[in-house]
Amino acid sequence: MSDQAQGGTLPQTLARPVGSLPERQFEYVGRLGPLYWLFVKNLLLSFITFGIYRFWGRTNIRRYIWSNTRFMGDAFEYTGKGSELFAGFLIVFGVFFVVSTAIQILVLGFGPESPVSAVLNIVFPIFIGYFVFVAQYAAQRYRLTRTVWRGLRGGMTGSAWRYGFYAFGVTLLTGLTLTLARPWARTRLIERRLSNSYFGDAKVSVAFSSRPLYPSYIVGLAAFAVGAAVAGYAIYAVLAETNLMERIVDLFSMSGGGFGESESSGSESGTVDKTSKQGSEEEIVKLVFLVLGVYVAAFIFLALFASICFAWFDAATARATAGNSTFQDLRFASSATGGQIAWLVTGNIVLILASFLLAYPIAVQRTIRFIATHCHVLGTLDVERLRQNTLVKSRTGEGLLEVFDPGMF
Amino acid sequence: METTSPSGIPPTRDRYLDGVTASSRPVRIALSGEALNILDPGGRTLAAWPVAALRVIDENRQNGSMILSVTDAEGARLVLYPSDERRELLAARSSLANWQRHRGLGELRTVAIWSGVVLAIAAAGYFGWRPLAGVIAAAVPQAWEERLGDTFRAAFTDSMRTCNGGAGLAALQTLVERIAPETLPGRAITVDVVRQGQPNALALPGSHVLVFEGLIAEADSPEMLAGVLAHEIAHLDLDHPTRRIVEQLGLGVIVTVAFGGSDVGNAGLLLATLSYSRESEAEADDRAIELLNDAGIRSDGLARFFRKIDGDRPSDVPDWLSTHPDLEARAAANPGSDAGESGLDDEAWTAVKTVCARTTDNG
Repeated sequence: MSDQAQGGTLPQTLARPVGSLPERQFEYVGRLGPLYWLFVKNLLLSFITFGIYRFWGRTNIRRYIWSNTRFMGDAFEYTGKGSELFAGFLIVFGVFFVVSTAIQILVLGFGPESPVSAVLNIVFPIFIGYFVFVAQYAAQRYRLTRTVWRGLRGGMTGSAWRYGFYAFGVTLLTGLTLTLARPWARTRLIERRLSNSYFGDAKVSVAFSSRPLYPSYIVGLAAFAVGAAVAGYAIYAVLAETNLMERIVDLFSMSGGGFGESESSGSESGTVDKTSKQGSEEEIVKLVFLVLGVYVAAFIFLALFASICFAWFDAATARATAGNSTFQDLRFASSATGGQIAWLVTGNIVLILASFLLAYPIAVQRTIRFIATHCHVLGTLDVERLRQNTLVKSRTGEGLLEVFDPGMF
Repeated sequence: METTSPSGIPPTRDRYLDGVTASSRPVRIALSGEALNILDPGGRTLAAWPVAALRVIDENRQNGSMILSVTDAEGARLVLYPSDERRELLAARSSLANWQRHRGLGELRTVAIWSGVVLAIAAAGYFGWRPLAGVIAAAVPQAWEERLGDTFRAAFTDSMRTCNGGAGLAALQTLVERIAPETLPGRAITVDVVRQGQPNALALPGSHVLVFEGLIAEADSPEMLAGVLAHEIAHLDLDHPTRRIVEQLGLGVIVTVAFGGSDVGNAGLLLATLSYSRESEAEADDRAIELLNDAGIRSDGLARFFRKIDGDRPSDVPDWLSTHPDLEARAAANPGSDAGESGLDDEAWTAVKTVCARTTDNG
């Protein structure tokens, strides 16, 4: 088989002329069977080991994916260890245990209404939000340092903590513009992460303008806003039509109102309501499930709808990122169209939800194939010039990311 | 899956990557004693790896090739296709041939050890957390407890209408003070009556008791009311409200961090909360009887009240799902005795029964 994979034709207009550079692709030869076996084994062993096996399970899945992905005929190697992921998790677990306990004690001590508690209640979510960005950077570094190809490993320079501040600020600005600045924010963050990334001793170089991303983003945002408004109205209409909320409030105030309130505020006496002629618990449960159902349906609809609305934005981002990146003498291109990305993502969501997560390996397989098919590498790598890097390896892996964003694999 | 690379390396040949550059050289191997010699096509030795330090990275199922590394040369790799030389090497060191089993066993051993550690910590936490929470709750400064309790009390009295029958409130206050033990820590107990239909009462941290209008309406006699009040005072005496807050805070933190706020975690938290609550209720029932006996009040009111309420409630909620264990079982566990006074004289009882009467309602 040649390096040219099936599918994925190159877009006519690249950011820079590529002339007649030779084209290569990543080749993914992994099969669904072994991936499923790893997934099921992960599931079962995680279940009987209180979730601890999942770090090793995830490592095995990555090792499978990496070793079945090839470039220039040579497979990648994932050298990460389950124990590294586990250690990272333990560190973050410890830090968060101490921080959130301290905050709870302070809130208890100063009283929930005091200004100190108010400040703590604002600071904690900010702290978490900041850490999500730190985690993204740290996780990318971890994966790069654990990826080996032809005996060379990847690496990443720059401080994850500083990236956290930068990304937090950029995201805050995006929020201030009612997300209109999102293409700009996305561009800056991709640039920041990518241009600090190494493979061997060569660095990715990328710089691009967010301008080409705006049309697809604005159209997507407008469509999404309309869809969200329609969904919001539909929820409102369903709830109003059936008087669901009022009925639930009625039922709760009629029976066992003290149950919910006392849960956190003190110990109840051993008395249970008697006035539940109309509001049996069964009826409450039924209504609560109905309301939950309405919200879950709306959420799934919005998730699917968003993945369609913003698919063209994602395609434009991939095109701009690939088209403006160079590595040594290599250039890149993305041939993924908005329609293809929408099909991939909505397909994955539907598969995973409809199978109650059991189709997860299929979604993984689809996604990697998609990336391999649509990522084009142009030019010839000077293998003699590409040397091992001396960048520092992170000692533990992804603890933060594990807590905040499980990710796909 | 062989590839013709630009440098013209023939397919299905052993190759050597030195871990310094990305170039891939065709090589052949020769085993000599404890060393594996890696030779270029011209017969020059590129590297000599100690066989004992070899490790298999992966095996390619499609073309049968094996990737090997050596401990002290990071990044250096040897790609070996099936050959007589490779068979000789694998025979010399069986751990290379069984690399997958070795790795799998090592992985399982590590995971098993850690599962044991986590199980031990979880067991220590489950059985040790409640006593520990009691110690922590006892160490919570009185001022914190009172401030927190005042906030909770205000949350109720601000959002619900209160009953203000002066004589009734005074009678309740007297009854509560009579039942409360001398040793009750902190300030004097406050009693509020809120307009809520359920026959319920709450003990809040910082010595506050809330009585629901429905409780007064449902109580047929002063000793029933005294029984429930004694139960709430027992909660205060046993420091339950503060303990429960500490217990829940600790559990909440662990569950949120461990499960990321997932449903599995919430279900576990709910179960833990329920089981703690049952123990607390049983403790408070026991203590309530003691308090009533010490105060010289009939102590059979609590059990009678439970039985009365139990008759009214729908029986379709399974016992294990309810925060409160089976009322009949609790009544049977603490029947109390009919020795002692009723707790309130007729005048006081009438005042209590009318504490929420409209004429005296300012709320």
